[in-house]
Amino acid sequence: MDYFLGLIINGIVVGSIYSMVALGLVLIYKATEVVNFAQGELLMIGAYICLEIIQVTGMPFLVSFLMTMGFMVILALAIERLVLRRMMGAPALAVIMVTIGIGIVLRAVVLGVWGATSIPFPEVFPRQGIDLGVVTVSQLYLWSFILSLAFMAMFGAFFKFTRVGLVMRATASSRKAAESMGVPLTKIFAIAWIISAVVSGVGGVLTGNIAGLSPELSFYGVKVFPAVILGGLDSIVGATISGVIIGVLENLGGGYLKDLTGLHGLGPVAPFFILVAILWVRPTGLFGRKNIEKL
Amino acid sequence: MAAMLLEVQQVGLNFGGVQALTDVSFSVSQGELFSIIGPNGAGKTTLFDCISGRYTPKGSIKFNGVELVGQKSHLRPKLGIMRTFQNIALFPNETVEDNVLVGSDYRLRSGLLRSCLYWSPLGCSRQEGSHRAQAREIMAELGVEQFANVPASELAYGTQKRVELARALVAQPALLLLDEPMAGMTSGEKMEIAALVQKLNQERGITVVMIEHDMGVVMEISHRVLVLDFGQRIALGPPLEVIEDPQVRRAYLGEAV
Amino acid sequence: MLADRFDRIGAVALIACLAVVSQFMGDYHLALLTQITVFALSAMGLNMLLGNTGMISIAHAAFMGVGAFSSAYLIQNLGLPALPAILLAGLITSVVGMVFGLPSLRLKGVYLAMASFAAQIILYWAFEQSRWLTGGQDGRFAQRPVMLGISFMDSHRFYLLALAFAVLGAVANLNIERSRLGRAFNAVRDRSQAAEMMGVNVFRTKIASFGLATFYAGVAGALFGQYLEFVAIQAFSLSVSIQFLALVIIGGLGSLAGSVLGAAFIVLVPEILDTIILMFSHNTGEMAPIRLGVFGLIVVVFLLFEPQGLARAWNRTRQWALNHTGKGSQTRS
Repeated sequence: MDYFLGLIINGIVVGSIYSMVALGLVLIYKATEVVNFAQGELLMIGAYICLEIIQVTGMPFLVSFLMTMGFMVILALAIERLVLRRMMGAPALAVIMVTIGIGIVLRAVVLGVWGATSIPFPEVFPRQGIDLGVVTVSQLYLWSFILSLAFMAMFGAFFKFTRVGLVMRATASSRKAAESMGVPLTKIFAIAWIISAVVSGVGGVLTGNIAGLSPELSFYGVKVFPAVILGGLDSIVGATISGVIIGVLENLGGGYLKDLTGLHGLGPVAPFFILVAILWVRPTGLFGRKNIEKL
Repeated sequence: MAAMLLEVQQVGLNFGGVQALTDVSFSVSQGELFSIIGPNGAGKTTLFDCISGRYTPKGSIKFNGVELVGQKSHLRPKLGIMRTFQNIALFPNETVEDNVLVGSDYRLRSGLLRSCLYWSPLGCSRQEGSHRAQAREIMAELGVEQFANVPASELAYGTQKRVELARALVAQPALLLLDEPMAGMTSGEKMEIAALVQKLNQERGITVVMIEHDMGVVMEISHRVLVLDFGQRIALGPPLEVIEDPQVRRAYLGEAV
Repeated sequence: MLADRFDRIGAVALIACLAVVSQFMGDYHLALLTQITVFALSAMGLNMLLGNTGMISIAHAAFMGVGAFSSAYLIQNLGLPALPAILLAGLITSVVGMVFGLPSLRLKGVYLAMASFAAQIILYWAFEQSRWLTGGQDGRFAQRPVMLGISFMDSHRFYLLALAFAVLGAVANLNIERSRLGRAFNAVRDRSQAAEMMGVNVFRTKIASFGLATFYAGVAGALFGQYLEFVAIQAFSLSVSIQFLALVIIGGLGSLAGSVLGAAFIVLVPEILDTIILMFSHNTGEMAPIRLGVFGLIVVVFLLFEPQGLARAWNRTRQWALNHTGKGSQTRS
């Protein structure tokens, strides 16, 4: 029973990080109709930058964390301004490929600067457990969970209560509507990329804390794909809920499927089986809207 | 009256709460030149989309007695139904010739293997050749032959409309659905297309259903006119009768003329 | 299109030239040439899917893997002769490809990208699990074939085999492009709904395109394994799939010349880069990241500034040559 609960809690924690990163992916898609295939690399580079700041400046984690966010903002602006803005109106294929290209460059930077071997993250949150009555949870996990929730709440509030947030939601349904509200599209695109990069950075730092740093970290970013497809590529609520679902399923899969099927490493692959299944059955996901192709 | 070629009965279509078409019924007889008019958003193109299988409406649409609702739309050319599109739906990166060829490709049976073996006795080169000759003929007829090797997107709007017409004609349809074939043309071009439509109808016996905004042309060449407004049929009959209908005057002509 | 006499003569001359010159090449250059040839064959399939039909696949390398492993298994474990084994491996890959391609009926753009991405990850995982087929992390050996009584054990001979397959692939590619199926591919890419109403069975066309692309991948994968005489799963990873996508984009979408030029580019550029890096530094550890970074930059730069790829540059050169040989004939770019 404890094993089961442990898996569930693990899943919820990792899932909440997925949710947050998925939020970034959905956001860019809604605002710009681009799916960012470099999301995993953004996550990875966020983690490495944070580590570097801690090690070089010796500043406390919180300060380094905030500086990392600052870096992510600059990186997002650079990507948006230098590349994606010029690709506006290009075919989906080209845009996907250009984000893949950006991902490759980021990966090369990580490999060149930090190498391919895995590096442990300095302990920020203790791994000791806290007794929550029913079950004991590592403090690291608890903090990761709280931080992801906090960031999601922040962006939720941004969308609900600020003018730009409202316009961004309108962009999804109609670009003309957004423009008529007096917010230039370029600004919306830039903000979407900034938010997306920031949540990826946060996700990277948190997963880095949990799993250590290696170029493999980018795979965590990729695992939000099943989450966004499950939730519906254009649904923020969907992304949030599905991130947790995928996290839990992945952990349960990793915990039980091996004994059931005799196959190794099914956990990390399981979400992709789910992805294919959803695309078969219901490509718009649980919460997505149906799109009718224009002639 | 001759046999009914197209019978539309009680067709209704709902888009997420918006009633795009409500109980539309009419029939078109063999050899008729039939026009559909109505204000923008009246459901004219939606009706075409139901006939050509883009949407699956409620009700029944019979062609030559065969039920069309629920049938795959790629079977329409084989049945003898071809159409053009309001906003032009040519394949923009392809040459005019390739665009036109697609229209009659439903007749070719060559699959993967015969394509790969193009020039061999088993290949599809002979089939392709006669196919191409036929396409050239129709392109010449519509005056677009000189653009055969030009990508469709590089052509002027009016020329693109003609290419679309060629793509539809090459399929040798029994029923031709024309969605605003004269939109955006000069009056000279309009006269040409109107004459062409009439010729196709009279000489080749193609039944034509045409959506058109130019009332002059509609009145002159149509045998009968259907008027739609807010997805509903408000009048149907010979042009001169329809134009006198008070409901039509209120809904449509009042604002357009 | 290779419709002109100019092009046809040029192509025949190039093939003859490759066949002869390859026989006098040293091992290093021959290895590069063989790799280019096999990659070009594989890329033709992907290019018909991506460039002609407009469907993305981020799993092309995994499909090559299916071909490589199944041909090795058919030959070594089941004792099939090489030629039928290679073709059968192509068919098996094709079936696997069509299964993963099935959801494509309803999917476009990003959704399809994700579906194929999942296919890549699932297939790679399946390779890791299926030790009986792939040897797991250790990989497995693959023999160079004896075909129609001729042994292709020797690298120089094997190159001729690869070239023959690539030429056949190219001819089939051109023939498909100029027939009904090719037009259907393009119609689906440009406007699938209009295509459907004009009589194109969009579903069958998409599946055919998938089947064709993965058949090319399977055959090329089989040849690739035999050429290396060893098949390792790492050769069919996500990053290799991405390389193939990049290859097609850099070469030129929907163009046979693009597939060939792209393959040459993707094989030669890292080699040239290595030579340049070695001039400045002897730390070979720096090579991989620099190679990768330059590769990524090239992809981005091509998409920004030359989205039609090397094929367009090639076309310009060709036009120039045509004008200067006085055989000027009308062509489209």
